[in-house]
Amino acid sequence: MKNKDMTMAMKNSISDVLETMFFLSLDFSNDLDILELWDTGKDPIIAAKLSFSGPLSGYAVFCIPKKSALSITADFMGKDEQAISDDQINGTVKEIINMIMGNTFSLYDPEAVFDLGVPELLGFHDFIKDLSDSEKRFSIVVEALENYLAFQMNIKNA
Amino acid sequence: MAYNILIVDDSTPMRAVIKKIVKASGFNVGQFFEAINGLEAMEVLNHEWIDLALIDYNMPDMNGLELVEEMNKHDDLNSIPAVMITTEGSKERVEQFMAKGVIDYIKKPFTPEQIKQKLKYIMGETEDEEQRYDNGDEEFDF
Repeated sequence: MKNKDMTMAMKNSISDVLETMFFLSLDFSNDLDILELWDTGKDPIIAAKLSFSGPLSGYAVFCIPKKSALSITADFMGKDEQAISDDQINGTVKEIINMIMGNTFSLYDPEAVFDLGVPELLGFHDFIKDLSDSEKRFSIVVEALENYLAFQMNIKNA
Repeated sequence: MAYNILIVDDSTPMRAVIKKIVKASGFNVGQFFEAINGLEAMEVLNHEWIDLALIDYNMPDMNGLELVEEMNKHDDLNSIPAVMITTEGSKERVEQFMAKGVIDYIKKPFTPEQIKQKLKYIMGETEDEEQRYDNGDEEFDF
């Protein structure tokens, strides 16, 4: 597996999904440590995890401050933020990781078949534990909505 | 003719967005029905007249492909056009969809215009094959 190709596929996928479906303007931020991105005491973070198997297996994690997730969900659904439920926010966060990972694998190798699991929500402490849980990791931080969104793919059979 | 459309997706926001796009596309919709997985979709299909099913592939309990396989077992359901909505676009996966009788697929992320063109093509409102895979640069307010 070529690290550079996977990183590029992830970045292109993140742009495709967040710009096409969620109308976000974003910048990629290099050299940021995911664990130091947010003041979690002030701003709750939502994290979602998606397992995958196929030519590569492992899982991906996406985390986003709740207030950014609320804003994205409201725009996505065309509703006021006050009308958005936690269930809808969580559904949007899970949908984002699902789309980004499916699209990443299509871009990385259009011939390969990957099986994606069903996205699940993680507590932030589980997220931190999962961050360093495998040998091969790709982390990408994106700046959008005046905050940071973070993605990490952990590969177990690289 | 007004079409009854079933949207099957475990994501509440995604069902809402697909519904909004279909409405905004000017497509002649009779009624929308929704289900959160294949099992619930079968309940709807057994009780309602459905002209078109838009089905997410990746769902818990019964995924999109399993739902199409289940529909194929029933003479009154196997002729309903089923469109798979998926993040996965590998050739092998698409061939798997088509082999099971899926009439077409929509790859996420999608634009409203892509959905509009697909639906028109599938329901025979355009015969322009090129429009089927048009990426839809046209401005589309929904």
